[in-house]
Amino acid sequence: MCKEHLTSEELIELFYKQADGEDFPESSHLQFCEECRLEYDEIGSILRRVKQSPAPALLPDERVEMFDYAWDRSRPHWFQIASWFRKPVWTFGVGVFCGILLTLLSISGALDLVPSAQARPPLQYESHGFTQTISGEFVDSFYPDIENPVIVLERNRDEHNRSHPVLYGTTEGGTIQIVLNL
Amino acid sequence: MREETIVSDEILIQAAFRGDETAAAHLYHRYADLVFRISCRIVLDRVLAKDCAQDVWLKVFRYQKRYQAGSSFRAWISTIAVRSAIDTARKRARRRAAPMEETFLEAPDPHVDSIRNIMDEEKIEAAILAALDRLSALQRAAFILRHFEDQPYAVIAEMLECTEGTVKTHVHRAALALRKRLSPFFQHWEAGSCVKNT
Repeated sequence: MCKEHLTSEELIELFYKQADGEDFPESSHLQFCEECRLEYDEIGSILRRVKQSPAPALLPDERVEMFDYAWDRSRPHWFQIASWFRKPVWTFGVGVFCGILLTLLSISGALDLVPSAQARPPLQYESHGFTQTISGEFVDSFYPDIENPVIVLERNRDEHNRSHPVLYGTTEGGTIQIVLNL
Repeated sequence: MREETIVSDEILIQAAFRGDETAAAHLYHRYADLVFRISCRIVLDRVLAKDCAQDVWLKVFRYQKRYQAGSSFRAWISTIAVRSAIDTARKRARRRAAPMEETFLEAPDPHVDSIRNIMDEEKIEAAILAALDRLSALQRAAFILRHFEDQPYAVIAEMLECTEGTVKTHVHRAALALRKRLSPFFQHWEAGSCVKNT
């Protein structure tokens, strides 16, 4: 008569050890303890029967369908890439990067964001009655020594009250520099 | 088939990562049954298990760079499959009010004709499924990996992110629960084998 029987846990462990072909010291106990051997046989029968359950398998169509689905969905599409930028971290990161880039360009002078106060249009033409005025950067390039030169074409009258055109240049201050009687 | 034995999983997954669909298909067909088998046995619902397995492959193809070169691809994909299946099984358990019915637990009679015996086999299969369904998702996962997939406790512990001792406890409790629920059939199997022998 056996005083100490194997626990259910030990019997289960013995079943798996034997299934793996490993040695288990308690296995010799079964040779002389009928009670444990019967319990072991019952556990073994149940576990062996459970193991005989047919393995679930995919049907051929399901197998192909599953691969196509997973592979197609895993490819990075353009809209998926765009969706990355919808994430807050990306938006924040891109914003910070653009800000730093603009600051650096602005500091280095590569990016002239604020137009100069001195900047003038290339050629400005104004007409008031018989007087026509031309100014701008184009005129500036002809008279680099004069500040803001203006070319004026107007009709003057002489002492006989005859009208004739006069072409002259002037500064914004009104100082006449060049006069041409045409 | 010859190519499948030559090309390693690692080469296939690297090629798949570069967008090689053929390599990805080779890898898929090598492990599709394993992933589905694990999912189905843990989730215990064919439709949900199919969705679960599909998600596993999506994760594998999408996050394949997370696979550590040199490690076992089989272990990596099994881990993904087990964890996904446990999540699915838990969601399924929450959605469902009662587990599978056990009205079929009446032990079948061994002294009947063969057609009846086929029906009895179906009853036994249903009883096994119901008994497995009564286990927690974690217990079931541990038991299935040990019992059906013959994985060592250390590997299962890594997959389930717990200690070997915990895995052993899960397996033992699962086996004891199965024994308790299936023992009514034990006499039938014993008697059946006696009938065959005589």
